[in-house]
Amino acid sequence: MRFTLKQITPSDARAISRWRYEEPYSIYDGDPASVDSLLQPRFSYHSVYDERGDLTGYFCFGEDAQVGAGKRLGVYEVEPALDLGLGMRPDLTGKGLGEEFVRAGLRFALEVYSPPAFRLTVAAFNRRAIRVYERAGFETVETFGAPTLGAEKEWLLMRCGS
Amino acid sequence: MKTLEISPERHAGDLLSTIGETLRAERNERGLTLKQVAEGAHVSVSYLAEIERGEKDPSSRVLESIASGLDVEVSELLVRIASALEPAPVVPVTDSLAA
Repeated sequence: MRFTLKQITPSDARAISRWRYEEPYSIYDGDPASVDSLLQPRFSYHSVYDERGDLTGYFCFGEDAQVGAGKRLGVYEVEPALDLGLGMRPDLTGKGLGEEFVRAGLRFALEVYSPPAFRLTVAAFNRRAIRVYERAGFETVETFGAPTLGAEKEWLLMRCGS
Repeated sequence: MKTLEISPERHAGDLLSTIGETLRAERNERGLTLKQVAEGAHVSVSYLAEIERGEKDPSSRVLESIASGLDVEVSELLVRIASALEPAPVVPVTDSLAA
């Protein structure tokens, strides 16, 4: 599938906010209350379309892709990089489309932002996403958690040279 | 026939919406998005938004997680919820005795 990124539209944001994922991925379920932040220019949300122009997912670049616990620990200050956040439409997940989806986002971001490197934060339980990021060239640089949340709730910080 | 209007649910609802409103106020004060706090708390955006609207009742474990996502102590969060519930300022016992 060929994926194309464009600036997010209000109707895309509303659609994304209603997406529901099967377990164990329901932690990624959205809510209409988040539409405003999806449309905030400073978070750089982009819609991803397929060849037919159907909405297939989204990317965000920068601050909204960072996790608070990571900010507190200073993991985002070690090296300069552009943070990616992303999500695929629920019915397209688990079908081997992830790597191409991620690569499309990286190509777009390289052209628009020319960052020194790419970085993302992923929940450690999400092995499926981690495998996709590894295939797309990301490597784990750090594992961190929030002391109050317990060991099973950790994040991986992954990095990919541009 | 007249019935007495005693509804304990009303009070439970008030507590729930106060918890939700307090969490939303704390998040907005910090300039954090639902996504940022939800990810930090390892809960979904939908669940956090429902808690903020007073539609879902968070367990103490979930409140702890959300406090972590907001980067506040859960004790601070509970104090803010308590003061939002109680309109009169809490007067320390020693002060009230001195008066």
